[in-house]
Amino acid sequence: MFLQQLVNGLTLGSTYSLLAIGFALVLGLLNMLNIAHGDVFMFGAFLGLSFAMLGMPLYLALILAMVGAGVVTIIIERLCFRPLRKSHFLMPLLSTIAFGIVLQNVATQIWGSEPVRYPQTTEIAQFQLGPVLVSSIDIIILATSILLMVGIDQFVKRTSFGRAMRATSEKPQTASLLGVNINWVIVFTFFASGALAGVAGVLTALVYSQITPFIGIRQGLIGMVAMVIGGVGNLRGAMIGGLMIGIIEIMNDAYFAAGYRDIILFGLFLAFIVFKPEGLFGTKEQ
Amino acid sequence: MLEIAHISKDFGGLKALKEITFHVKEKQIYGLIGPNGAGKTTLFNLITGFLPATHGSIQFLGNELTGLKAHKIAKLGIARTFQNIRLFGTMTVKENILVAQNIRARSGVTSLVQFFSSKERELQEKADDLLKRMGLWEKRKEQSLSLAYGEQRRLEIARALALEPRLLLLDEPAAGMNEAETEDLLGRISEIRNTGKAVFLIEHDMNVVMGICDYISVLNFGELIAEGTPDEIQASEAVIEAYLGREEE
Repeated sequence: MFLQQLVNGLTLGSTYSLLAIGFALVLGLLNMLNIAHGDVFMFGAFLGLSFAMLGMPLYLALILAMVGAGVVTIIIERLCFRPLRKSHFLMPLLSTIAFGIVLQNVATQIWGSEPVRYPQTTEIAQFQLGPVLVSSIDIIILATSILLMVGIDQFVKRTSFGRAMRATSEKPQTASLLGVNINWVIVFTFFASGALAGVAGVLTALVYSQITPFIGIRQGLIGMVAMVIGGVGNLRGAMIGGLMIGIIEIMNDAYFAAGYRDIILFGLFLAFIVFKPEGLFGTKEQ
Repeated sequence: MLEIAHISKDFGGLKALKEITFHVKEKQIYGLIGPNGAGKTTLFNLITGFLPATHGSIQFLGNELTGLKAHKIAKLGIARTFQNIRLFGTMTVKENILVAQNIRARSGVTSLVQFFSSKERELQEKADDLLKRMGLWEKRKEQSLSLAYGEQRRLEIARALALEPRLLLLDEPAAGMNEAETEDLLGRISEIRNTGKAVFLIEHDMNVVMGICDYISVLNFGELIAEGTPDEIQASEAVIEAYLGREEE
């Protein structure tokens, strides 16, 4: 029973991790929050749904939803961040709140506000591993998330583009004097952030099997909680933070009371902000 | 190679630079001196695209630099160091060098796959070479800010050289260095010129300027008050009055 819940928690948590990484990427670079991130997640889920309805196989729908969500996030950068670099520091944050609400309503216009069922594109197989029952969907979610997390971690650590990202994050002006095209780094980072949210959207929709235009609100906040617990702007922290939140949420539902779920999660959020603002793994160094 | 013509820079009402004109030739070590607040670093900031000029023109190898973004100017072959060291503190010594080498790497989307190509290995080898030449090889895996002060300055020069510039701008390279470190630095600057690069430096230390520069300009309150060889500058009345006289207490 406990092991089963642990696997469920990890599966759920890995989608939170993907969201948290997206927050951390943008925050690490610009020291700003993209509040519309949760709505990009929702939009990605719907894009995936539309592609799946067209009869595309899951992997293709996933990739296209990723690209679509990434493009939406590039639009957010061009509209809500770039023109506001010299404005009051809260303006980009406020503009993304507005963008998120617009996105929710665009989704409502396209897909309606009633919950929509995800089509069954893959045969769900169940595997009994000792005491744990794992479905093929769990495996797809875990494998995809872990692959993306390891990929992004190594990309930032080892590639020349990753170094340019870290340099820009620390000292953007110095980086540009060393030939780094900062705007291109920012655009790419936003794309990656959105693409991860898009994947998370499709994967989450597979678990819950139905979605509405308003699922992004709580998910976005949970992604933020995961990032803060891991350490603001810290990529590895965001990954672990997401997994932890998933496990806590599932354990709470299994052994305590589902009604207390958000009291516990957001209580924890508040506790971290007040008592351990650097999170478990430290914030992005300045 | 670097032609500065009628360059002015205003900060609000303050005229930081007034109608500055001079040029730096290939393989020259050019010195820019002047009291604090004379506008020396401002001029560096204009050349590197850090700040826009109010008016005037800066040409480098026939390219107009005013209006270009900093990363484009870097690509044309101008690298600089800073008066107050600006290393990437969250990165290792070698990573600091590798960032500057990105410029020789592919840009755009193809840079994403570069990690899997032979280009990355080539960059790594070049970075290793540079670290050995600058005497930083043993420290390559350390965090850059854990280095001693003199080493940090050397790393900043190494990082600028990693851009493979034609012109190297050094903003007070000897600041805070002891005599032995300064001596070592002078040797390195000569070596850099011998590899065919021009060096343009700002310096307060007169021994450095007089000992190494081929040609010197003197700035005072944003105006160019003298230029010439070290001997000419040392003999110039205007310079002694504005600068040297006041410095020698």
